[in-house]
Amino acid sequence: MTAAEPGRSLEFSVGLWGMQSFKHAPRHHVDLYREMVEDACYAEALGFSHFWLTEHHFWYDGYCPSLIVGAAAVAARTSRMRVGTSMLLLPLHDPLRVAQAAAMADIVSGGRFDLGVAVGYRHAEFDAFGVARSDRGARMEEALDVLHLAWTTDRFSYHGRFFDYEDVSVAPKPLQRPIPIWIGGWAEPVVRRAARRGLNLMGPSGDALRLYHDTAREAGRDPGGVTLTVGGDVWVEDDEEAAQAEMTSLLRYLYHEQLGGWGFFTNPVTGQPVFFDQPAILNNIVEAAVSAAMIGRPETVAEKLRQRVAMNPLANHVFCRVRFDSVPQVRLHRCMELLAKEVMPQFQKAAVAQ
Amino acid sequence: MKFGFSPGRVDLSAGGSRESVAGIIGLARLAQESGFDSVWLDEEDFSGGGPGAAALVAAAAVAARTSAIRIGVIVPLGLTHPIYAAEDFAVLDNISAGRVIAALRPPSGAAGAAARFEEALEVCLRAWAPGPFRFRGEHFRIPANLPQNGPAAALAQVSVTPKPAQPRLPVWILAARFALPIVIPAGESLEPARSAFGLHRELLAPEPVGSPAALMRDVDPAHMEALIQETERCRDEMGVNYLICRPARGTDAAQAIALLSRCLVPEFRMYGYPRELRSLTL
Repeated sequence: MTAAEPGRSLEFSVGLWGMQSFKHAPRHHVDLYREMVEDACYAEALGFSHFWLTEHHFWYDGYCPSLIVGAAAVAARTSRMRVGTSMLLLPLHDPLRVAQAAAMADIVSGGRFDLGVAVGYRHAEFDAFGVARSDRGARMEEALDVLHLAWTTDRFSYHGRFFDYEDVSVAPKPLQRPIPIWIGGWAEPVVRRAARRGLNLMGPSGDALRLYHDTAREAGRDPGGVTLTVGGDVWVEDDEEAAQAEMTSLLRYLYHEQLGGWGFFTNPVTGQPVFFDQPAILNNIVEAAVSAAMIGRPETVAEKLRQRVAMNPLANHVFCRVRFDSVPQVRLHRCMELLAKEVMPQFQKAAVAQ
Repeated sequence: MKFGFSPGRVDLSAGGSRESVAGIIGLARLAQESGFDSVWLDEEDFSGGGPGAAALVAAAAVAARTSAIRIGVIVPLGLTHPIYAAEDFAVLDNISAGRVIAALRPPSGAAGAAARFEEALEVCLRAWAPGPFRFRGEHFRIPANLPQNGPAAALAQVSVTPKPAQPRLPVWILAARFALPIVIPAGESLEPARSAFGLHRELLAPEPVGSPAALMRDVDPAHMEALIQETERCRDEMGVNYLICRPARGTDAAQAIALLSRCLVPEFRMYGYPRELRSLTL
């Protein structure tokens, strides 16, 4: 049985490498970065399309703050798979610095670099960089303009509210002109921003993808050439019961820590971020996130993914978050192997033709 | 005495290519195999200056393809928020399993550059030290405690993570006025280097022993005897204990590594080798 519809072939990418040594399972960061490169080599051998790194700052566990540096290490040891950021929190950064770093990563990789960007949300991150969190949307817009100019023009001037350049020239230039940009996020302004600019979209599904198509057409863009994703947390293992029990409990812990510690979710009634201080609401969000994960034997995961793909006919890329800190590397590799060999082929055109 | 190797200017004017980076990685591996202590990448060579992250990114590629050689990265500091560089160096040090030397350059030209550099340097040193910190300078305030940032407006401190893999990340400065290891990119004449090393020695007095005093030189391996004598003079007269060799324009870099490692380095590192061997290799 095949899941792919005729003419619809889905590429599969894996994430998210953040190299966290968290309280639940402390690790040496040298080991975590070495394993990142080993994982990438294996992911490439298995045929995944992209390998994604994830960014946060100032968290006690060492969550990777420098994605482009990490991506360059991966790029130097791989040759076919694309390497990207999911997501670089662009409003926290200096856009010229990002433009230079991304161009260099693109050169190192031989044109295999993808820059995924999101606005970020953690208050402490904005504050440490001296950025007002409320400016994040406006800074994002300006930074996207600057990246495009830096990569595609020899010299440019730009006069924005946050960034001001007079006749600057930015080197090096990337091999791809421009480097593909992905926008991450669920909120309506984020989806509209991606659609207006013709950028790839990572994260939302369902109505958001229709909103993307509609907004793109209103802006006079053909949404056909962009990448829209479907996916989420994925864990494939030989033993169904062990997978369900262990991964559900691990995910519950991880979501509890990150959502509770970082105020990702805003209480719609109070307008305030939900931290550990609102345990009942926090538990509800955590359970919703955990129950959305696709966990189990290959046939279980394939079926769950099939439903999700069917509900998102506009998606053309499957993003699988398979990496969760504290899971031993040998189990991660078995998960990636089962995903690549038993699940992925059911969603690709070659399988349909057989 | 220790020896570094710098591949020098990378031609990325046409947009660069994977081959140009592969060339640098190949030279770094050759330098490692030939016993050099370090390989050096300079932001100036990659992007012609600017906020400076291209050399750090290239260094990650070098780190991923080498195992033992140290990696010196020269970046201008103070043009942007210093935490960017602090984080990049810390991650790079973990990627390389603790092989990084952070070589920091006061940016030239920009107004107030010296003051910004000094603050940014202080921020980096605190960011790489264990534990959290708070910084209140004229140019940088960390955390900023902006009222708009809700719960963060009251944060007392920030901790930059991960920390570098090395217990103390080596920080070298491309200027003489700091009590930290020094690296001087010398031009044709050695006189500015001489006064910089002299000033630096006074600053470190009474205990300059063991602190790296590095000199970068454009070297031509075709004049090996002169190079050996000049290196001796730099060591004896200026206190240089680390020479970073950059092949002079027009010389073959791979060949330079081979010649330097067999003819120059042993004169300063392989004490007591039978002199009869000298004429056989020189």
